[in-house]
Amino acid sequence: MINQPQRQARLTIKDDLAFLPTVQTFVEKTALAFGLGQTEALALTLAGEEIFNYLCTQVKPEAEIEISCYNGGYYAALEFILPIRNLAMRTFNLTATINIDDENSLDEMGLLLASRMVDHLQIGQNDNGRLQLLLRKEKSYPKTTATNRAPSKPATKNFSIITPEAEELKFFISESHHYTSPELLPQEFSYPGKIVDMVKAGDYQAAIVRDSTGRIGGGIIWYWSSTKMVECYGPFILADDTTPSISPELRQTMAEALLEYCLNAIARSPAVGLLNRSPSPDLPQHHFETLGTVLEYHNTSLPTERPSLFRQMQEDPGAVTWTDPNFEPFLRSEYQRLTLPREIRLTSDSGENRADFSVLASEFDRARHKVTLRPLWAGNDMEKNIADHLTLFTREGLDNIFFIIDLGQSWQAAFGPALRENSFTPRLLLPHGGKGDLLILQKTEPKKTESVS
Amino acid sequence: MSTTAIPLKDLVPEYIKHFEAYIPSKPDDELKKLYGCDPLYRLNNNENPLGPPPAAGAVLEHFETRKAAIYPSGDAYHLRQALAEKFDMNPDQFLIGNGANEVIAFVIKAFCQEGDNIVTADKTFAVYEWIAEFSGFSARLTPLSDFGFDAEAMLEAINERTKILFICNPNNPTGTYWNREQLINFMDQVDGRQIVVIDEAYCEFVENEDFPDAMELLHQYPNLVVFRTFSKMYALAGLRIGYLAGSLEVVDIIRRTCVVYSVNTLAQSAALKALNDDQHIQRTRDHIRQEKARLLPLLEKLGLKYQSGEGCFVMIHLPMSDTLAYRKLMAKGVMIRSMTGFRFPNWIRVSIGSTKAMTAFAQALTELIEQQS
Ligand SMILES: Cc1ncc(COP(=O)(O)O)c(C=O)c1O
Repeated sequence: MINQPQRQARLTIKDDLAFLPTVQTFVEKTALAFGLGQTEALALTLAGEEIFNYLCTQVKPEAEIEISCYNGGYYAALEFILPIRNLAMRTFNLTATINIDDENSLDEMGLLLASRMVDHLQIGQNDNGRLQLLLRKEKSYPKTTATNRAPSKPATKNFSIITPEAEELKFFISESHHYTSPELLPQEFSYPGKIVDMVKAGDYQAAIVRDSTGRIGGGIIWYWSSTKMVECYGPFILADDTTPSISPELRQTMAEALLEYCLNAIARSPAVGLLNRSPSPDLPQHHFETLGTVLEYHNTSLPTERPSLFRQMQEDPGAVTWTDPNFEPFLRSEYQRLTLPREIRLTSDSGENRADFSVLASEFDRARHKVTLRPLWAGNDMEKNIADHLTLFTREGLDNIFFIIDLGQSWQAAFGPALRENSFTPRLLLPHGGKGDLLILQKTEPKKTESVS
Repeated sequence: MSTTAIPLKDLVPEYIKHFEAYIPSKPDDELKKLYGCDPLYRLNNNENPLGPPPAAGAVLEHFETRKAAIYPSGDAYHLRQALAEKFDMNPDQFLIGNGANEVIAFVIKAFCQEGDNIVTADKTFAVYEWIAEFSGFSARLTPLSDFGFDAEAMLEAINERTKILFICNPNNPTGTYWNREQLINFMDQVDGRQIVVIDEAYCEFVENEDFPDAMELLHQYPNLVVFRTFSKMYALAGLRIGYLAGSLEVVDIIRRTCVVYSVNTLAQSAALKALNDDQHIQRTRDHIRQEKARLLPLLEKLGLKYQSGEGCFVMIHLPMSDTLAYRKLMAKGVMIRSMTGFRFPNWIRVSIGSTKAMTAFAQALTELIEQQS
């Protein structure tokens, strides 16, 4: 989820290609004004052009398109909104206008081109049921370099947990590289300046251990990944296992204090759960339950299997779960393992009429070679539609492909057979992550895996 | 029928957009089905397992149905007379509400306007903080010190926009309390500048001599407001009745925000009969003492840290997520309160229930801990 940043500029315009230069100027000027560098502003402008172009060819004449540019502090976002009645629902599908078997036609696909130029592209429906295309281009930040320096002195037992100042936060982020193996650190940790801006923008929250002499002993970062879910990175303690002045007990006490600070900050909020998708060795595991694992595919090496740890923030009120019989065994065993009170209702195709075309929303995260699909509409072509999307993603080099079903929304269960045929397997169940529980499926290859403990 | 979407974005205040509604637990029959348990013992709401005092019970049994057609006394006239007599005060010093929860809202509405704030602890009864926030006022929260309200921290948290300080005495959920000297000291330091609310929802459970009766301090401190409820000791939680007491001048202000007729006839009559039953208080105290004496050694044996102070509840620290423990205990037919929402992650609070319920809890907890290790 992208938090609504403070500053924005808006343009409302008819879908007429004659306005293309207006759109170009609008995007470029605002992106620069919002602090993007020349290169990034240009990329966002080009992506914006592609989208506008695409929409002009897709929507009914005379439709109004609302274009907004947001200043997110560490990024600029561009949003296109238009009423659905002005277009065919299929326009949401990334694959709508291309012949998937013809590689050349991919390059004519505006949405795909746009997705290559930005860090994040999300196509879906906004709260008012309108088509929303959201593109985000981040500022570029210098990468932190691991220097050959004397290790920082570890913090002592007279510590407190505080909200860090910018320099303290940067220190914690940079130092964490010396004590934590790289695959356990989130990508953003390579860019301390970006984290500072993310905290400033209110997208990330941070807490650190600081002792009475001002030494920094570790930290934790958390953020809202949807309106109901909070995810955390860490805690990361700044000490080698061998650092003599910090005992295992002190290390544990610090980690526990950091996690509790985070939990208390989100208690009494709409958060239903706290999720950690790359548990660090310092994470106090007794606060969590293991949900399942996802596979992380890297271009060359074997995929790594990563466990997701979770804790509910509220007492579970029970729920109804709608599913295709395909996923019933997985769900039953997970519900039993996790003691989650659920009433499972099976759905089936009873020959009722369906739309001809299904619609999928896609969300790209290029840095992680990741794409996430969500159903927007069920239709007769579900299997082919998913297959077409997969072909496209494979050609784009996106290996980490997820599909999220909201088990609280009965109509989404219809995607079950199509997902099985396309080798999606259930990996995680996220309690109350949507209207009901979220079932996270992953497109898996029958390859060997490596696990990260 | 109008087909345009409601412009909620414009209609709803920001502080409501970000506020999440409290979701009460489902009724027993639904929960039993969901968790596949029967019986289900509710040990989550600090209710009195002995039930209401006999005279109050009799009122309920003999209620004349035709009275249901008639509005209740709009300001609980007779009950206020009885309270005045019991505490040797003026009847106009009392306001009766639909539970103490309602009087919390009365006080906040009476004194806070845009930009104002209240001060309370971070780990206490949540409703002060909730009502302030969904009314658009901020709650400045101070950490507890050794499980108790920290007077110094609260005084420091006061700024020029602070209108009310809320102290829960004894505190739900930690059971700690300020003794008479601490309370007087605090009142002196506030020096009449803000309204100080002492929520005494659990005061009837306290046996210690040094526990202050805030009612007795009202004449000395006109900025003091005391809350009491019939839900806990008097076991009338289902009828929803509680009250506040304060100086005439302060209560006169709060009365302006009161919802008249919000307290029903049955509740008023039952409360009136419950008020002076001291034997009921003694019986309840005895029961709680006995059950705590059974529970605490078990906790020691299981190696669990606990916090047991005054009141009809005990907090227990678990070696696992409290929300997971909630589900597992529910599946065993016992409902406790998970404490993440009280900012005590991995703690649960168990109310002292009937002997049978406490036996069921002891067994369920033992199984839970043994399965874990
Ligand atoms: C400290 C405290 N104050 C007030 C209340 C509210 O009580 P009532 O049922 O009268 O609304 C409770 C109930 O749990 C409580 O614990």
